[in-house]
This record gives sequence, structure tokens and C-alpha cells, in this order.
Amino acid sequence: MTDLITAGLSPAIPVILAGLLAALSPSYTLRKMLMIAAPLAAAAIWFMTPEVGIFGAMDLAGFGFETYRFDPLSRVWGLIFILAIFLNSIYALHDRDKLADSSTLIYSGAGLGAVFAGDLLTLFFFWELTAISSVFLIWASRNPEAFRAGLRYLTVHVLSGVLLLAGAVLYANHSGSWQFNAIDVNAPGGLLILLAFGIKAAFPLMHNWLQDAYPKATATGAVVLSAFTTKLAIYALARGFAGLDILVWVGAVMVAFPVFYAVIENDLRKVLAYSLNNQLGFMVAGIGVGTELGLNGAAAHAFVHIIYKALLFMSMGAVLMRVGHTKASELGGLYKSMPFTAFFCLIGAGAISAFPLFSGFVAKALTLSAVAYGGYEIPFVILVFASAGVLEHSGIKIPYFAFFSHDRGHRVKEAPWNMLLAMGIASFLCVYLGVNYGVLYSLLPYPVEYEPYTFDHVVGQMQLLIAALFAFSLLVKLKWYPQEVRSINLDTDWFYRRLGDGLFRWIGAMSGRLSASISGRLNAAGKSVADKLFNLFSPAGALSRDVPSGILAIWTSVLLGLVMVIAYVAG
Amino acid sequence: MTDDVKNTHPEASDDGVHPAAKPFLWLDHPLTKAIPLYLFGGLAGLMLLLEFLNPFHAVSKYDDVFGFYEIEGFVGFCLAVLMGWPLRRLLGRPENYYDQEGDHD
Repeated sequence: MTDLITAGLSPAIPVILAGLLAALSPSYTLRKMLMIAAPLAAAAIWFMTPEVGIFGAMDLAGFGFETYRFDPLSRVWGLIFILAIFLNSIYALHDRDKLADSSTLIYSGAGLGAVFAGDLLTLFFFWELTAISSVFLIWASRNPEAFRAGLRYLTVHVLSGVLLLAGAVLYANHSGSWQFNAIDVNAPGGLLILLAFGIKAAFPLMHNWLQDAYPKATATGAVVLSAFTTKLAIYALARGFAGLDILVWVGAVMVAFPVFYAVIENDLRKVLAYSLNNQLGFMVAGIGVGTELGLNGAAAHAFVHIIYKALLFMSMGAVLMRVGHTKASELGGLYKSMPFTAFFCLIGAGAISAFPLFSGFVAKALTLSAVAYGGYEIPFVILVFASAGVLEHSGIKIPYFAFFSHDRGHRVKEAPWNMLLAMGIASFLCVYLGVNYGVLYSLLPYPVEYEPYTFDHVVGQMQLLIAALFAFSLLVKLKWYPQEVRSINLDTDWFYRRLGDGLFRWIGAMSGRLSASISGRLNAAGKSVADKLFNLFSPAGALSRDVPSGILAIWTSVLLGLVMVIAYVAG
Repeated sequence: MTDDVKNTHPEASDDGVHPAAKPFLWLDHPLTKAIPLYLFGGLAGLMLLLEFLNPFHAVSKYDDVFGFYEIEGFVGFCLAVLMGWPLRRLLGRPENYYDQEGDHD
């Protein structure tokens, strides 16, 4: 096994191979066995990788590829990706969709491949593979809305890949190396690479593909999507742009604006998508600070976030499966028929809200401290505000409107056992990592000398959360909390779904008219010429008419005379 | 939807309430809904008292302010929620705003 690893067998390979086999397998049982076996095989490779180093280096067509770089940064991302694949596989055990099974494995394997890529070309290959394979998880919903959202998603992500490739070519040309390490944003291509990462990380104004596409995926698809794409981009940012000052401010904006959207959003899976965006902001800010504490904060946050965000998407996926939708305006009281799902959702809510003893607390404390110690005072205040916002949208809104609030009379079955098992494992990890935080800290890229459970941290965080809970109770009592209504909200996707779409339709209509007009005129002109030629040459035309021989004789004499004059002058 | 196990008829009990949920039906009692306001108000006061008795070691000029986290928690939460009213008027649209022909066939 060790020989295979040193030859380049990375954890991505068994997962992608399992995905390809699943695509060919008509057997549901075999596909599910592959889904369980693939992350176990990937985990075995991860654990058996002998040391930090670069494996699977090869030269092809004059380019050097490094397919398996195992170092402190890729190691932690690789492990959480493998764990996420395992959780997703259990959660999706009931799902008989072959397309979803295979694309889940190929997509998550591609995510692993990108994380372990040591050079920009390998990164680009897996970057695009994540885009192409993941779109099937949106299309698996099999409705026109999901199909269009999938196309938009694919367009945005292919664009991100094209920018990455263009940036990589320019950057390699400048630096003389295709290695994927720290990137100088001011060097040729540096900004393009940052932009490519920014699109996938859902930077402000480039974010809306996330809220557009994820809620339209299947119940299981949204769980899978929530884990890989954006966290891969966070990894790439941590690898390439750690310490880039502007990222602290980008992160501060990212944590803040989704809070406002999440309050007015009715679709609870879309609320989770905004919440995901907000969580990414914390990681981006930590990367922007760029210190060991900041990067540890980003890595720890990504690790625990993948688990609790998956847990929240799982709980909403169970609601979607049983009730048929996740609209807050029509949910409530579900704890009576789905008590275990409600319980697990509350654990996820506690973790994302960063209550002490939950995983979010020990991770977010690192990032907040890094920002504060870095002297970023305004971003620090914004991040603290956003922490109260997280409690609002994910800590309260999701469980409250789905499972409590007004009982809407939905009496449905509890989620199937496999979904409950996946949620149970994720819940256990949310608490386990919060209590035994040493396990989490030991995985981080840099040595950690940080104690999250100090009086200041615990009481400060509890002050924030309890004051926010008090505010919620007060606003509900005063009836100042906006009622959930059936609506959607305009976001930046309006520019391409309405303005861009309208512009294209207008251009299409105008081109149609222009083309009709030109073709009409050409037809008219053609007809006119044809008529003239017909009038001249047709059997009934001018040249066929009988004309007096005298006139012809005169014209012949004139032409002959003219020729003779010319010949005389010329001679 | 590919998850085709959708259903609406629980087998657990006649009234549709899951047996594991029955011990928690008191959550629907009006008194239960009134308690959090006073509970969280009291706890917030207690947390301030703890800070007063054992002041924090501030790392920025803002968290040096007494009750900084409570102020941010309360004001931040109220700001986020109350901004929902004007934002919904500004950004809210009917659910079928982006629908196209054939979407609901």
C-alpha cells in the first residue's frame, strides 16, 4: 500500500473510481456498497500516507504534475472531505438515483484531488471536474427550474475554471513554475487566480450562484454540495493568498450581508445557503489575517463547519423529503412527528451558533482572536455582530420555524433510519469536537497554543448569545419579528436572470427583426434585378422583341464606326 | 424530487404524534412561550454581573467597553431582524417572479 501511495495513489483515486463504477452499475446494492467503501478506502490511504511530502509527481508533455501533496494544510482538508463523503453516503443510502450516486462520488473525489494537487494544472483539472460533476446533483431534481439553475451554476463555475487556467498560465510564465504555493496577487495572473478562487468561495457580488443552485438540488444533493465546492475554494485561498489584507475586509462583508438576507428568506434551505456564505466569511477573514492563529482558525472553522452545516442541510433534507418543501411560512410543529430530526437540528444549531461545548465555539474563537490580535478592530466588531446574526438565522430561525413555532398540522413519518444515523454521527461530532477540542487542534496546520475555555471567552460568548436570544424573545412578544411570507428576494442573480436574460431576449428579438428587414430588402432588391433581367432576356423580354432591321443596321454602323475611329487613333 | 419515500401517514400513533415527542408537548403551552423572555433577560443580567465581578482582558478597544458583547448581541440581533421590514419591501417579489413557461406543467 505504501508503495502505491508513494507512486501517487491519493485518497481521491478510489473515490473517483467508485463514482465511475457506480455510473455503470445497474445494481442499487453495489452502488451503495461502493459509496460506503470509497471513503473508507480514502481514509485508509490518508492514515497510511507515510509522511508529509509530495507523491505521484510525473512529467507529461513537458509539464510537471504533482497529484498528491500531503502537508499540514492539505491533510486537515483531506480528512474532513473524507469524513463528509462518509456521512453523505450514509445519508443517501435510501436514494436509488444512479446519477446522483455516481456524481456524488466523482464530485467529492474531485474535491479531494484538488486539495491534494501540488501544481496549478492538476488543481485546474480537478477544479473543473468538481464543477462538471456537481451540476448533476442539481439536475437530479429533474424539474425545469433546477435545470436552469444548474446551467447557471455550471456557467459560473466553468468561468471560474477558465480564469484559473488563464491566471495559471500567466503566473507560471512569470514565475517559471507551475507549483501551487503562495501567489503574489500583483504578479501577472495573480489577480485572475484570486478571482477564480473568489467566485468559488462566493465572495460578495459573486455569491449568488450558491443561493440560486443549492436549494434547488435534491435533499441529498444539497448536503453533498454544502461540503466541498466552497471549502475547496477556502483551502485554495489559504494556500495561495494567506495574509492578503483585503481578504479581512472581504470576509467582514461576507459575514454581514447574508445575515440580512437570511432574515427575510422564506425557503429554509436558502436560509442555510446564506448562512453558509456567512460562515465562509469567517474563514476568509482568518486567511486575510494570515497569522498561524488566523490560518488555524480558518482550517478549524472549515472542519467543524462542514459537519454542522451538513447536519443542518440533512435535517432540512429530511423535512423536504417528508413534507415536500422547506418553506418557513408553511412549516411549524414538526417536532411532534420528527422529534429525532428536530433534536439533531438543534445540535447543529447549537454548534453553528458557537455555544460553549459545541464545535463552533472552539473553532470560531480562534478566528475572532486572530482578527482582534491582528489589530483589525472594525472587522472584529462586524464579525461579532455576525455571530449574533448566525444565531438568528441558523440557531433560531431554522429549528424554530421548521419544528416549533405554529403547528401547521403536518403529521409525517420521522426521517428514515439512515438519515437519522448520519445526523446522529454528525451531532456526536459537533459535541465531541467541542468538548475534546484537542483532537481538532492537533489536526490544524500549525501548533496550537490556545485555550478556548477561559472565563473571558465563555462568558463573553454567552453574553452575546443570551442577549441575542433575549432580543428574539422580545421582538416576538412585541410582534416586531417579520412574519414569514411566500416570496422570493432579489439578489445579484437578478442581473443575469432578469436584466441579462431580458437583454438577451431583446437582442434576440431585435436581431430577428433586423434579419427579417435585411432579408426583406434583399429580397425586394433581388426581385427588382430579377424582374429587370427577366424583362430584358426572357422570351418576352426587350432583347427578344422584334425590332425594325433599320434600327439594328444603324446601331451596327455606329458601333463599327466607333471601332474604326479607335483603331485609327490608336494606330 | 428523487427522494421518493414521501408520505403523510405516520404509523406511530393515532393522533400522528411520535411517541418520542409526547413528553415534550408542553412546549406548545402558552406559558412555555412566555418564559424565554424573562429567562433570557435574567440570564443576561447575570452575565453582566459576572463581567462586573471579573472584568475581561480586552484585546481591542471595543471589547474594553463594559457589556460590549451583550450590546452587540442585542443591538446586532435587533438590527438584523428589524431591517427585515424595509428590506422585504425593497427586495421581496412574488414566488413566481422568475418562473418561465412550462415550469409547473
